[in-house]
Amino acid sequence: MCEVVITGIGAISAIGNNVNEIYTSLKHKTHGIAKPSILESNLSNEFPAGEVKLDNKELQHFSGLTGIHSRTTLLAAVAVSEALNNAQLYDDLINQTGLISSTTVGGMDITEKIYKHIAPDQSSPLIKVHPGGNHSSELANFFGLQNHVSTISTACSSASNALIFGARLIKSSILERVVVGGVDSLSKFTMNGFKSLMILDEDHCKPFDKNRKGLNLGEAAGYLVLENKSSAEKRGAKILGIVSGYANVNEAYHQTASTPKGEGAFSAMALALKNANMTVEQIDYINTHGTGTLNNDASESTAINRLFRNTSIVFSSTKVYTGHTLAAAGGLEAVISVLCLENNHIPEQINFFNAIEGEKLTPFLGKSIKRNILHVMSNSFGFGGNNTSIIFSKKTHKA
Amino acid sequence: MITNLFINGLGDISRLQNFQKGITSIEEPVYKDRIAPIKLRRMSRIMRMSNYAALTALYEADIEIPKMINVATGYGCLADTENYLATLLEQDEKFANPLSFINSTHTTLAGNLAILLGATGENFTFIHQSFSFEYAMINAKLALEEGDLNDALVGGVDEKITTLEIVLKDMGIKQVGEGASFLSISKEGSTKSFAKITAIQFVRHEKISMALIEGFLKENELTNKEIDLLFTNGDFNLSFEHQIDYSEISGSYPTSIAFACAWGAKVIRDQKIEDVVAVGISKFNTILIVHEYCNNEKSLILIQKP
Repeated sequence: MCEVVITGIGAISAIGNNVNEIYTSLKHKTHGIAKPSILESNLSNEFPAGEVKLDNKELQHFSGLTGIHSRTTLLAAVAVSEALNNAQLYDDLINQTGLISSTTVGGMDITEKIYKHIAPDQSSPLIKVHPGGNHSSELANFFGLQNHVSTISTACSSASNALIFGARLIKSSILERVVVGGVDSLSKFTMNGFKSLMILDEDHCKPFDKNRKGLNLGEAAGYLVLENKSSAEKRGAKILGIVSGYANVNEAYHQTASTPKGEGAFSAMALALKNANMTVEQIDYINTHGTGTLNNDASESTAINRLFRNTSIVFSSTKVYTGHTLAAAGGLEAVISVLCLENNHIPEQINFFNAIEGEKLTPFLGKSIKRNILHVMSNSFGFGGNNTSIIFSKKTHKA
Repeated sequence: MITNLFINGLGDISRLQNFQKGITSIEEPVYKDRIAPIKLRRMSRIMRMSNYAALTALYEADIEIPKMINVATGYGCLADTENYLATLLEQDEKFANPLSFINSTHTTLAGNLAILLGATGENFTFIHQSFSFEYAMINAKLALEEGDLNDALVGGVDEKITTLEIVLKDMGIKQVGEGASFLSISKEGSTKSFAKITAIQFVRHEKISMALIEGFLKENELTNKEIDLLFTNGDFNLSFEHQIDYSEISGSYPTSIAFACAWGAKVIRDQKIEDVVAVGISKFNTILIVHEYCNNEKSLILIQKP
């Protein structure tokens, strides 16, 4: 089977409108968590979030899209455009490229504005942007991605699963290259939903801290161009990283909570290592799911301790910078993982004070580790016990 | 795309049974026959339909826990989404129902099945409108090959709500349908296998035409004459002797191709078709399905006797 390489990355989030800005923010430890100013919700005064600093008009201008689109589509267009440019894909190459995207809210930001105007004798043309798959079709049309187009939605692991499906399409030679990732915009719908689950922190979230109180939501889009290694080499593309292994499992335990022992997290990570034919010692850094909720961080810590026993594994959660961007998280954090490999830079955990009792796990606090980062593991765990772990490797170092 | 996936069990909640009796709504089963009442209480209608159809497919295939679950839904859990959203807006964000919120997520369909079955394998939900079921099937095939596994559960589910009917009427869809159709499939055939999904093809930019269909059949080493029955969900002006518009039975919905697959597999298994759609033939070895939803994305699925 052929190797799957990464030849382009693109992202937009609360800490930057492109990959460079995001990297600069991570390097300077600048987070993007604040009370939202664009989202029209009563909760904007109550809960901070990771909001992209551009309004829809600016996003529209930035993306080049015309007509009316959901914020979800606009954010995705910005990131996909950057990923395609980064991979230097144009015209004919784009035509043959596929798109596997993901979202949880889809066009909900529009639906929640127009819903009350729909009556038995009156619809609204804007409702057509509601379905989750709509943004993928719009992006495919806009960019001319004419090959396979699909959409996955598995809550907070969505983009990671889109990446797995995309990688499979390449490995099986169905596609030579494919854009994979995910997007979610902030909405009343999700803000209130997470509030009702009582897992939102009223302050800046504290992943892996003993006194963590919950998560901050965020919005983002994160996309990668995956490519068959030989196709990438043939066209002289710059290879940014390799998709070395992945696994998706279900905990089959609870609709929203994880098992205390982190069974799902444990097997996702263990199976990803097995899929990559690697051992725990080879992982240089874990970009954790690390939402900042009591439940997730405890069970993820337990799972890490169980799997990486005796090793002093380096890990952190970048959700303290970006907020939890739901379906986009796996895409955004895959982009961040590639940045780690490219720059040998590990994002430091900020807003951390005390380790979780019993776990004795301290996230990376910047005590300089000068070394070559070869393999990064990225975790994305979702509602419904949907757990995914992906391993990214530096080009020259395949296990 | 050649798929060669064997069908060993099917579960279908659709209008097919009621259609025979002249009723235009789907026939909902007695859910508690397969799902404990205590669990049913927390399940929305779409989850009940999805779970029941899935359990039936597994029961038929004699599979306790599938190695992976791939669910497809064009619109997801609409009733819970609307219920949650309407309350949220009416109450001006003062109250939100957490159960409705959880149940509104697309992933809840495959996720709920995992919990119900104790299925810890891969668990994907595809939400790409009319192409959802096809991609769920393709992912299952690729994942089975990659993981050296044999069986998977794949289904298509959509539910109808009044608001959807209002919205779709504007887009020219009059007969809005719904249903849940699941298949228990395997990579290797066995004595339990009664049908086979031979190939799946997506058609994006071309029109469905005889030439296109003939090209597809040729790739699969078949001719028009070898197609015993054509299932379509619209008038594509195709000259096949025996054809049925399955949307007259299922109604229109994004994943109705899952219904067509389940029905086709059943017809091949039983070697007979329901009286209401009598087509005057008694041999059913090869069925071709042509699916289109909302005038854009089209697909072809070929089902054969193994």
